[in-house]
Amino acid sequence: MEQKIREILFYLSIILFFILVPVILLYSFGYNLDINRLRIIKTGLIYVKSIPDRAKVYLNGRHINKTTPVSIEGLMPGEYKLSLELENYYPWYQEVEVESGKSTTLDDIILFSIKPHLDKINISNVDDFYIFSADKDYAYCISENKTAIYRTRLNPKEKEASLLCNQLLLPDNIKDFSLSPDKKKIFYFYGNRLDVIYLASEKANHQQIKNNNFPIITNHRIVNAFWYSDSKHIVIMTDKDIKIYELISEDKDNIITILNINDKHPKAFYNIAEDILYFTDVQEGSDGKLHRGLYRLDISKRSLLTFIKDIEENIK
Amino acid sequence: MKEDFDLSKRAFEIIPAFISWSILLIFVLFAFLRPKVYALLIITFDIFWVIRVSYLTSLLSFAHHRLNKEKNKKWLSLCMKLSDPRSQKIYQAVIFPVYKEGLDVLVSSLDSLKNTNYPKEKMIVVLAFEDRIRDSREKAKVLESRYKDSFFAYLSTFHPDGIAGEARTKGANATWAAKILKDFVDSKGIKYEDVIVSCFDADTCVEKEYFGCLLYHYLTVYKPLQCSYQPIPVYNNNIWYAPSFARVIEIAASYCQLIDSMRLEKFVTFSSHSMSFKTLIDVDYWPVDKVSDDSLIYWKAYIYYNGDYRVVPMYITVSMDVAYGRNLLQTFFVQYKQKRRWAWGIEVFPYVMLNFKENKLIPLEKKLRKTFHILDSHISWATWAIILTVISPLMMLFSSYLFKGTVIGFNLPRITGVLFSLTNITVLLWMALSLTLLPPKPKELKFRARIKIVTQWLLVPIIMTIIGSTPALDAQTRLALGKYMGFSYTEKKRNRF
Repeated sequence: MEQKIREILFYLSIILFFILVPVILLYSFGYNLDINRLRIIKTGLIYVKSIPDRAKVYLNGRHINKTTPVSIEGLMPGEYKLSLELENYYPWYQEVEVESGKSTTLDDIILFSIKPHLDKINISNVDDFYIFSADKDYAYCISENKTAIYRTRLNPKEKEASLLCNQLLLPDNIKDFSLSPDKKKIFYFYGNRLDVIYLASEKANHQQIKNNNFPIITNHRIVNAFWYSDSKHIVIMTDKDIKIYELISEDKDNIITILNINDKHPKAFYNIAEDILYFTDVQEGSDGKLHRGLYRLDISKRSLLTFIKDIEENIK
Repeated sequence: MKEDFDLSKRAFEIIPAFISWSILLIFVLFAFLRPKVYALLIITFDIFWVIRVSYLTSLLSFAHHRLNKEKNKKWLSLCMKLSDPRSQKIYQAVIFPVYKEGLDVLVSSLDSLKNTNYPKEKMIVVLAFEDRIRDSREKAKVLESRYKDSFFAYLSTFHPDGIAGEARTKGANATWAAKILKDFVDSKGIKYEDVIVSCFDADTCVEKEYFGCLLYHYLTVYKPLQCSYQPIPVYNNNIWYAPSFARVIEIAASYCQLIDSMRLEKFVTFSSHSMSFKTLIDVDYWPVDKVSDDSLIYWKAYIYYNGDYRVVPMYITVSMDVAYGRNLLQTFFVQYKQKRRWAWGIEVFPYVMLNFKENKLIPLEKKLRKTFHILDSHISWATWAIILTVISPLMMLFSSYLFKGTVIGFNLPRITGVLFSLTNITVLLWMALSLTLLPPKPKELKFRARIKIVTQWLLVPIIMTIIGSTPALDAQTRLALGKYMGFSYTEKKRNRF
């Protein structure tokens, strides 16, 4: 009896195998039965994933009763109008090309909220703010009356701001602010003037914070300025020359001109990690004409040492 | 002539590994060279595997049902009811080839013989020791003093080391003991056909009705001399104390026997088995130079009787020990080595093929069927788990590169995942069945041992990956390279893991 049942099971398994293999293989490779024309056709699919998920999916305007992430299979080759809808989010729409045997993946759809999440991250009133690469977790805010600088964390849960400097009188035409790598000083410049502000530590008593403002006046318009990596020098680029300003103490300084330039509007980038200045300038070429070129000025400590070594070798 | 024989033998030794490695390489090569063909192959294989596992699981359920149905049968009473005059004459001879097994293991095996309801005056017990093992004679003396009056005869034999043409195998020891048994049977004037000989692993414990069941089958089957009698091996002696990892593997081994008991055309002797003593002598005993003596004795008889020989399943269990080590790593190695030894059963392939070549009386159809069965079982064993748990998931890692932007690339992971999960569903049934095969929980063990014995089945995917196919592929590769395996002893433990 068992052997009979076993035989039946065996042959049923074989039949099942020969039925399932073509059905599953055809499905896997994207073949579908076109009931209207009674023939097998090769279809394509669209895979849709959105952030956030659970968005309703419409294909050619018809809701397909599925939400993202979803794979829409058995699609005849051609162009489809695909749209996603989610409550409180802007709808998304795109025309999608489906090819036979191919899958079209749309897995980077972002649905933006109609009611964006807005947080105030600062308790004080702010006229302007700067986020410096030297201190990316904080915003340096200028008070509404432009007399003080606060520092506040870029986290709405920590709204506390610390006063870094007050009794200032910041002009309206400031071109740029820059924080020193040691986070203890800020300079700003406008016209031919650059001011260095020594910041108070967060622990300092607010009563002790006073205007530590030391102006540097140059003969020419300041185009750009950069902190040197040691936080004790500033590279100043005017429309006539490049100067290096040394902060000796809070009331003493030292300034040298290291290069004259011809470009009235030079573009500049300072690589603080290597202390190299890249800038444009106009120089006379071998053809006697003026050419605007890109230059590299290495003022790193390492290059200065190499330079001395080269001189010593020449003397020998 | 001898050169031709050696060449053919080498060719037949290489064939199984060649096929197994070719199958695996075909999957990998197609994955990179023709990804679509690979997808077609892997899906077809997965469907085949789901159907095969479902089919085998249904056979397992039938066999299990039969085992339960016959569990409480009073076999000896049934024999008496047959009113067959032979039933009074049959002697049961039991040979225990012993290697390094301790007295605790041997005593429990012998006690189980003593506790059977078969008339002891019709039982001959042979403890077959290896002479080269230092404490063999001391052990023999202890056991003789304890059991010499318990049976019609109790013999201790000591197999000498280094007999020409022999390897250090269990078969050589059993054969030595069988020859001494023959002398004893001759001396008592007993006919060979009136003796049923059982060759048991040293840790084999039989049920009370085992010999009644054996006698019943011997008396009722067609051509009883042309049959081997195979009980269902379970590994219950120490199962409650063995680690989950080893338990699952051994239960799966019992399941394989249960399944094969339903596929009589594939059924061959395994481990502890019984047969007519006359047949054993006629076929010139167990092979003395091969590790797989248990299956080879079937093939020897099959060829001797020109294909008119079969294995009769007996739905009665014999209990053996789960093999395990002192820790999980050792258990892994013990299990791996044991399974590799079992898989070394592929050494029958060249033996069978060469004899099929010589024997013109076995019908070609039978030869082809048997060849297919040997290759099917060994090659499936060496490949399926590697394809399912290694090649398929590994190729999924490359799927975005192999099937970039295609429907099959998108569907393949989903479909193979579903098919693999379907295979795993059968594990639930295996788990349920395993509970009914278990011996009662020892009182000293807490309830959590029962929970562990259920949850252990969660290990199946891991076990499949690490020990599913590799021992078989290892054994086949060794055979192909001519690195022949010797008999490796599996230490028997009765203490807690």
